[in-house]
Amino acid sequence: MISNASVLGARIEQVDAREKAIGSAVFAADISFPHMLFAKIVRSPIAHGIIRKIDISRAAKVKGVRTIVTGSDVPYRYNLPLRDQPFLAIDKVRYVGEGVVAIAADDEDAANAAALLVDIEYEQLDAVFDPEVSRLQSAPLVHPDFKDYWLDSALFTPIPNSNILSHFKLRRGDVDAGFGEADHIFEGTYKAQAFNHGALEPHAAIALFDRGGQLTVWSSQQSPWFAADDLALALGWPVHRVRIIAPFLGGGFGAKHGLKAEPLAVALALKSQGRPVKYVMTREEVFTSSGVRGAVIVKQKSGVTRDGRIIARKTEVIWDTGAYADVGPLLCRNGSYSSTGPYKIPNQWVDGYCVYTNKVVTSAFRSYGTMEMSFAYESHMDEIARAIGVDPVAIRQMNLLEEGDATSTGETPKAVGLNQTLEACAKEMNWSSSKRPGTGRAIVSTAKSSVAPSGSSAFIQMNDDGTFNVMCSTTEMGQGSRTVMTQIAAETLGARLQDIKIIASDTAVTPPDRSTSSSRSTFNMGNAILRACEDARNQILDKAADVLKAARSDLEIFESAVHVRGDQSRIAYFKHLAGVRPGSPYGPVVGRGTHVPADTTPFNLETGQGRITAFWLYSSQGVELSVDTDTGKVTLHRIVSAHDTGRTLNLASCEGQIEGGVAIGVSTALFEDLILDENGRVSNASIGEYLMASSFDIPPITALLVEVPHPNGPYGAKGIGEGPTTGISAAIANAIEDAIGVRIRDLPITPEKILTALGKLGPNVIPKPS
Amino acid sequence: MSKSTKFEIELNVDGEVIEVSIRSHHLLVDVLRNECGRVCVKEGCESASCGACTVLIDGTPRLSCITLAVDAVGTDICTVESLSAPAGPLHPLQASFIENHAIQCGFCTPGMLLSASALLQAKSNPTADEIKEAICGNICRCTGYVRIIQSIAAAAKAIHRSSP
Amino acid sequence: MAFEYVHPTEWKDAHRLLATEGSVAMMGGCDVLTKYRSGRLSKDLVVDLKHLSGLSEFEVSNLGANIGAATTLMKLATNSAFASYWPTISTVASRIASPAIRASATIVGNIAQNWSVSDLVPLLEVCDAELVVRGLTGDRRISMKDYGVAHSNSTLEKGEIISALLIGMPEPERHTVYERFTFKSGFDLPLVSIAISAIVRIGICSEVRVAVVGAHDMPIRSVSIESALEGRAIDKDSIDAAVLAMSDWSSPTTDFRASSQYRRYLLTVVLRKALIRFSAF
Repeated sequence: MISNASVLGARIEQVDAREKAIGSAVFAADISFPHMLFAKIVRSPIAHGIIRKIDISRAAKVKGVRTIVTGSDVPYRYNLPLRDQPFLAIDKVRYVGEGVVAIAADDEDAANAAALLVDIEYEQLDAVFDPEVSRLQSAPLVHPDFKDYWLDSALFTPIPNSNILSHFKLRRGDVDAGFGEADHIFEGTYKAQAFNHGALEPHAAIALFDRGGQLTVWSSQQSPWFAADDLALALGWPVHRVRIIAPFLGGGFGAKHGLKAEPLAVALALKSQGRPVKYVMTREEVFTSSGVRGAVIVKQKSGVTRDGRIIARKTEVIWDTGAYADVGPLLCRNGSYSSTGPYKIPNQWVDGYCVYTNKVVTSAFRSYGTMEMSFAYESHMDEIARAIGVDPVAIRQMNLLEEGDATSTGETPKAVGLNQTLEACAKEMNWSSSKRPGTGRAIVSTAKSSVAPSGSSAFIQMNDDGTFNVMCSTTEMGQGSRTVMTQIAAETLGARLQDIKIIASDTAVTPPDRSTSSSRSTFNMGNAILRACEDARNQILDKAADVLKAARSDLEIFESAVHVRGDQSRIAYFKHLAGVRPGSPYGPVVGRGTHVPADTTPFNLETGQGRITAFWLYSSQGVELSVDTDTGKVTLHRIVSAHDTGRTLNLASCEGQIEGGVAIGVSTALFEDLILDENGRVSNASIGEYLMASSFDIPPITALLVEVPHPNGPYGAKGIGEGPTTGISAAIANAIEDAIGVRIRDLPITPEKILTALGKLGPNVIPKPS
Repeated sequence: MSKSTKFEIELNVDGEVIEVSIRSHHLLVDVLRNECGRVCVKEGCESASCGACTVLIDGTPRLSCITLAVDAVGTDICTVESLSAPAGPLHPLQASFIENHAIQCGFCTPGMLLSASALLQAKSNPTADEIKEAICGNICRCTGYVRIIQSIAAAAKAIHRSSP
Repeated sequence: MAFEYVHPTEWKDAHRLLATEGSVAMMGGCDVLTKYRSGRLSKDLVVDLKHLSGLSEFEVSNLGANIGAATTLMKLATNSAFASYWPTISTVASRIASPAIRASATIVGNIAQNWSVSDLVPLLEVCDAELVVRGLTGDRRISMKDYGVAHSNSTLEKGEIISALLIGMPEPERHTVYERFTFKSGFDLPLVSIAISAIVRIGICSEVRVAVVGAHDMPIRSVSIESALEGRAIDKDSIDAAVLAMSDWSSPTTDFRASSQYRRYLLTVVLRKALIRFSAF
């Protein structure tokens, strides 16, 4: 029974589910080659110091050791857009866990044994751990040679001779006048903690520098093109000499965006005479040396009218980027411009400072700053509401952006579903009825931008049997990209789902794509695939018109066949139109598509104004909880999470992203904290000691999907991935205040902090019966 | 430094007898992955805390990262490959995980399925708490466990329906 | 670093091997092998004791329980005879860690790790369990409450092996309660916990035993809390007296998990909860 039913919007089974269920899905660490070497990295035990001496003579004698590399053997720096990161520490170490010596051996035992025999002498230097100290002119410089680093000055502005590698500025309206007019002024400082992404798969990379001089890297890399560009630039090579292939990733969440494990494997491969080198991070290394979500401090000051309109807001954001920049400058920009919240505030002033410290490097984390920013602005919002006696939902309804309103950067995004998500969430939470006794509840709203300009491209080819290969660089890390791209391709072509195969993530095969991050892939790559498929569809129609002797306008395509409208007897199946077989009169059908979000403008670094987003993710999330005031423990009863997807292309994938993101939100709000001791060493660098929520800690989650179609999205779709993590911590903090009248402004919200805020802890307190 | 003793041993993996040459300190997880072709058994940590390396040994879930390969001689080791034959029908748990979208990145899935299968062998109608308890040693960062728990409950019902 | 592995079946071989330099005993493998995997094992000879004769025996008789050192937590938790006499220990054992860890972790391995927090150790201290220790010259016994005091394995001589755990049959009117506080609601070690055991006759408690996790370096019995409850009914006054005794006696540490102030406060909260549950007997 043929039909032209859409494949969008339903619960389509994930195209990779079966291979993952039977265990045949391949991840980077599963790949092996003959004559492969195994890497072990010797890392710095101190936070800041000069490397005085490296003695590898004992290590080199271990049987099976083939290559030992130090920083001076590979004196390159990478990291776009600020190339400050060496492959291995060159003359200095800047954080505990920085790689200093890399060893490659025939087997892991030899590599591990050799690592214990490397002798390094350091001269310790003063280290700086507190970003508020590090930003001062008096602080020791983490990068005294900063001025020699390549950086893209169109994107950010460093402050010379300081540890401030980026000072972001946003100036809109007249914030002092706004404060002058306001009836109330509110201030608050909010702190988000450093934590680890927690992807179950440790980073892994296999590098092969073959005798022809070609470098191929198989790795758990979210953004193969971004990584290949960065690597080629660092090495001074043409990009076509670097090939990066990403198989399935066991979770990314930003941890695997940009070069992470690859440079170490490459450093060894370059000196290993054509033998492939495999480097798999230990879990400890993932905690200490791969990149984490860094701590952020946000100071909010708001001028509010007596009825609750916010007319002025000033924020200061301090981003602790750790010892190297990684995404620091852009995180500082995108996060800081989001710090005032998705609100109609005519007067805004933002200063964002991205600061070096001698700590583990900050990297991208799912929501790229919005989780931290929304903890601040949504906590602040409830504090305001409570103080002036306005209902928290009402105050948001009054102030949330709507279509036609300008954001903090002066953009007017299309398809703004903020109020719709708020309404859906409030309705589901029964907000208009009283809360249950003994509980607290809260609803928050957040907005997370998807970066622009940001390009994607895709190719599609018809195989001789009428099936299709779609070449698409987007990496699959569980978010369901392969499935949604399959759906988009099938829908656009009129092909059956099973006739589409996504060929993924290989820079020698799949055309350029900025990254798999920023919730950008459905929108950007989806559009690229849509265009590639339209291109292919045109070719198909041309051929079919010829074969069927019909006018193009009389043709329709579904179920992988071209039909003449109104005449069931005339069909041309795709397989009959394909071809480079001998005898086939038709050449191949090959389509291409590119997409970059339209209407972006340069960004003014003085005012923070410009159009640099493709679309935004709008979310409203509600929490209901109770607090045990004897122990301080929080019990979550329910979470409602509403998101504007534009158009929900795959219901199950979106619900899965919501549930997973909310779970991370819960875990990071209540349990997670990357703790450093006084020497800058991570104290809890193992899964046992680093607390992550168990399934018993996750309450029932109601996922709500709202659709405000975006005119530029593929079939109206926007994105989903980063919305769900954003608002949970503020919702929990607000619900706790609602429950027991106590306000916690720094994460994680631990039982101890709650009891301290209740005044129950003190040196001489003898607990009374409750 | 001399290496530890080499052993030639036989391991019974998913019903297949495999002869391997190992040293005394070699862990089962590494031997399964490197010598027995079972890269479906994953590694996620060094502290026996994540469950990615879960296998069944004589029907009981065990962490292969804290099991010495020599210690597994004479046992029946099952990886996720034992749940279904290649190109054969899927185990009800696998089918349920797929149908209920309990798989995102897939890295926890093999271990999770094995912990679940051991549970369903022991309890035909587990409560939600019993399911959570059975998988409490298997970490998942992608799904929030929601659909994993639903899938295991659904599979239990499906198995119950299909058996007399 | 790489190690040699031996699994003696004869006790004399086991003693001899463990007396050599660089050797370490292994039971379930949780402790030794996680140390090895994280590069912190500095021994090169691992002596697996699981195959020693008698170590896997597990007997419950009218004399009590005789639990061989190699008995896994899983075997303990699923023994219905044991559960009928020691329901609290059985329930707690069934929830430690995860099913996979319980399948290989042994009771005695759990004790011998000398962790500062443990769910089993306080329970064994309040049921007056004894460890049977076998050395070259024969067996001796160490009571659990004495074992716990030293925060290292120094109560054992070199070459000595814990061969069994003995738990005497509880008196008919003895009740046991275990109350724990964890940050997470699953798969978490306690931050603090309290085991209380006492004979209760017409509401009066005697032979009271209280073991506390989180008040000091190791789980230990508290004489002062026990004295505050001995010979009394559990009521508001005795609970307040016990709480006061706890406040005076506890000296918790401050670490990245919690401050000592929080632990001190929490100990009193958990003690109150445990005693209120106990008052139902």
